[in-house]
Amino acid sequence: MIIHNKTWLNNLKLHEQFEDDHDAGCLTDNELKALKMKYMVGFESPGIIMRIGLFVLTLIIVTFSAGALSLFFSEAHLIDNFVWPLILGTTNYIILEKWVKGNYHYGSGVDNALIMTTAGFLIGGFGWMMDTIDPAHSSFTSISLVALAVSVYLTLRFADLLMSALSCLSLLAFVFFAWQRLGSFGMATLPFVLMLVSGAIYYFSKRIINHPKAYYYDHCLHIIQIVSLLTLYLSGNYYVVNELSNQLHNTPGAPLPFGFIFWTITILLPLGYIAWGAKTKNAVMLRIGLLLVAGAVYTFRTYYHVMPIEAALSIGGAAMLLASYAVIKFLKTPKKGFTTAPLKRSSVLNHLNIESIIIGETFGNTGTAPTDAGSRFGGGSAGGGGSSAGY
Amino acid sequence: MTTHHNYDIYDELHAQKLVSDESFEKLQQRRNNPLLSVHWEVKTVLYLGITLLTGGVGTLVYKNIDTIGHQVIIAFIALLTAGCFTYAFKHKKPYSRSRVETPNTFFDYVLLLGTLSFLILVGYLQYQYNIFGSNYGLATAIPMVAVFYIAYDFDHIGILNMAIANLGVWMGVTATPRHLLAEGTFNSQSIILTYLAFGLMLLAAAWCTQKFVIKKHFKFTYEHYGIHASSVALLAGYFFNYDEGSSFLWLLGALGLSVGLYFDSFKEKSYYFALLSVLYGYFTTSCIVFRILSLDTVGEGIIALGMMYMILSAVGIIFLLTSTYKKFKTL
Repeated sequence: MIIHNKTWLNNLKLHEQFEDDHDAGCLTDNELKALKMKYMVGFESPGIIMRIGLFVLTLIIVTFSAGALSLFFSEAHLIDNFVWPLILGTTNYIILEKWVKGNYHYGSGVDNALIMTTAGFLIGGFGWMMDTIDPAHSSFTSISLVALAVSVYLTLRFADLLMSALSCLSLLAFVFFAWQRLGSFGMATLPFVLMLVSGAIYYFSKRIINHPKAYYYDHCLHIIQIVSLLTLYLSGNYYVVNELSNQLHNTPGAPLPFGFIFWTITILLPLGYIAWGAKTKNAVMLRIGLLLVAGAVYTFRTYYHVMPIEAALSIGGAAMLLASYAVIKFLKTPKKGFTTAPLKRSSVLNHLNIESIIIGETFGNTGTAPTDAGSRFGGGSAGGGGSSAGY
Repeated sequence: MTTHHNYDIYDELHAQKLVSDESFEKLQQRRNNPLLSVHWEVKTVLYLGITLLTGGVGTLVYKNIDTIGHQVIIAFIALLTAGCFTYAFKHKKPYSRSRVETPNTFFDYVLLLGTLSFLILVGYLQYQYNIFGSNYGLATAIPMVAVFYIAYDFDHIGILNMAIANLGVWMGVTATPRHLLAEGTFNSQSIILTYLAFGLMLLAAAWCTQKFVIKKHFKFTYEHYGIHASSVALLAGYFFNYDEGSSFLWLLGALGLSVGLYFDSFKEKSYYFALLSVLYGYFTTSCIVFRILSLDTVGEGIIALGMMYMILSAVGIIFLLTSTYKKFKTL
């Protein structure tokens, strides 16, 4: 099913393992190099920066090629109906297959972009078709079903991460639109059904990830786990459910019936993720849990203003500092399978000083007397001479 | 650990002498007692904590500026600054012209917190007591110098980023690429020239780190801001002087800068800068091509020609990037 060379894929998995052991300090640099030489991988899969560059350039090429072709055929009125995007999508797919087979691209940015545009053309074309056949009814149910089929196929064929996320989301979209058709009963139970489905997806991906047949799809399944944990939380989050229900019932500003159920979920689920993630040493769950604590706090503050924002920020910040200090102290020697030791990694993150750039971005313009930083710059841009007069 | 971690393979590799006895021992240990590193999680929480705390305290000060309470807050900030720097100086390793490893993870963040609260303090003193008078140059120069000193003495790249941003504030420009694009208003010749001077200064600083062997690892940061500021300034200069003949000089400058940095990136083995210079160079070339196309010699066909140019040039850039990447791999 998968398009890529299986020997190389197997070796790539070994490379990941070697790098992981190297990060943990169990293999030396020379050993890593020798092992990588032994298990050859011929894929074109460059580093993240290159990948982004190639991704954007490929998107430019596809956009302008499709535009040029459309311009060429527009005289003959060939592009006026839904067949045109479907033709473009199919052409795109054929090019993608040929390109990946011929040039051994695997996660190079080029293949990622082509996969994305293929899916876009095909799903968009199908939506156009449904609209042509029956313009009176919205056809989101069938569109999400087609999106599911397309994205699952592309995931299985190319082990593409974006498509695995899309397949998870389109399955949920399908359930969402289908369940809505059940009328008021459907509307009332919608959040719970979505939570149930998300949970089921998570459970399924957790079970399947160690299966031999899923060997090449572990990264895809990780993405699916992340997405399903997020949707599980979002479909029970008070803010999301309230806003969505008011939107669907056309009752802006109304509070949610049985709100306490959703408040419980909003507050306790992130903590549950953290606790369960720490207990089972599940890094994915632990990180999502930490992220969602912020979501819970934000939701709470949207409805209840216990204290002014700056006091909340200061206290929250101090609490976070203390908590992380406590964790560092506690884990000074590794305990219970956890450590705070840095990974010995020469990854892009360190190479690019991402962390320090973020510090520069967030703190770069703070601190200096607020009266002058703003007005100096403002003065400069308005008067022209203001900025150079200062020095 | 990866999903399908296969420790059995190391038995064979050990027998083939590809894995040394020592490493093999470590691997067995890891197999029996796998550790999950929460290093990045802890760092993220620390970083967020500092962001929230300094943001909150900074706002508290200005909201309560006329009440009794603000003196308590100021005292708190002063104490915080003093505390952080006491800790930092106590645990500091001696200055060196090369990289100094941090004593521990917590140290970096204490220093960051100290620097931020120091800046809040200086800002407050200026606001309330006007200690620098109306001399804004001095009011921004002193924190800037202090921050540069901290960055070098404690070898903290994050704080170097702040120092560069402060240098920008002192010169009257914004430094970070995001702010450049979001609020950079290039509507006067003098602002553009200031930006250009700022960018070139940073590039010169980047060059100096290597030439005089002072904190060589700071080069990346200087060059990162330098490339963005000077390239954006040169391109802005072109658009500002669009109707004048001199506009092409700006483009030539931008192109020259890109070419120079492209070849310099090979010396530094930094693919990031190669990519940046290619992208800025590509943008500049596209400006020239579209300027020529818009001279109205081709008439109707201009849209088709423009599209052809976009497609072909993007293909060309892909080939250029891939071949550059291959060269970097063999470096």
